[in-house]
Amino acid sequence: MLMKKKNDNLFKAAEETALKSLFDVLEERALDNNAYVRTRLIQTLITIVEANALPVNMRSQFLKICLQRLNDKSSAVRRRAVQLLASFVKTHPFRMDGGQLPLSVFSKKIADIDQAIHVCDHLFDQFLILKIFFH
Amino acid sequence: MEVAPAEEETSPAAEKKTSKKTSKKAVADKKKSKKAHAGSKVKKGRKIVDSDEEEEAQDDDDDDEGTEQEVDKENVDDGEGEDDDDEEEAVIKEEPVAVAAAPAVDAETVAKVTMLRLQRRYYQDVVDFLTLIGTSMPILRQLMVSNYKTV
Repeated sequence: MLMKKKNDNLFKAAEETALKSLFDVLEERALDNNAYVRTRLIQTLITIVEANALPVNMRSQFLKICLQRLNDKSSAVRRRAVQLLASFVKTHPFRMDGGQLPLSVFSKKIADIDQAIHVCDHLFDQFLILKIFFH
Repeated sequence: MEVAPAEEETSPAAEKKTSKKTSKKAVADKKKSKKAHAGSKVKKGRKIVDSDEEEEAQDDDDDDEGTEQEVDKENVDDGEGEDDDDEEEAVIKEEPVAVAAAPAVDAETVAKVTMLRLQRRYYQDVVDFLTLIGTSMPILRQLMVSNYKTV
């Protein structure tokens, strides 16, 4: 049982490494000299994003690439980049609050959470001090 | 250590018999003492269990050989091993005191803080995404009105 679990973990780790290396290759192709390669790359990214196959932690990385390609010298690449940007917006994974994305609301929520974390940390520090004092 | 029966035999066969008996008795005494210490070794976990198994394996090997010198060596080694075990016991006994002093309130607070941190990370990702989309808007505006075309 343990051996099976260990093998599964190893397989999963190998799979993740392979996936990461593939995405690294895609990232490199974004700076290819040939405009056709860049176009095909962005088309591939559109397919991946619309299939929701892009890992969440890599979305911002590829979104940045997409923004860079908006200023590409080739019109075909720029057109595809706009399409990719639309795909990113259509398939965004932040649907916990109904899918609406008002920036001010999220900024306020971050501020509230920061305050709550600060209070908890303060209480925890006080508790530790008391524990050390009475121990 | 009991002495072999007092029959004055000078033959080598008799000497071998007496040496075997003494070595077996020494091993038996050692095992009894180990059993007596076994209760105190329960808390120590896997490492000590492994060492016990190793010692037993050594004992079995020694039974097969049955020489007095090796039995003496074992006794010396066991004495050192017990000292190490005592040190380990002292270290292990100190650890649970710190753990037991932490009440359940700590766990709740830690869980709450962890949850808040995860929420913060989620909202931070959302804000980053929105910021990136926001930075793309001026470029899109430019593209909308431009007539520059390169294939």
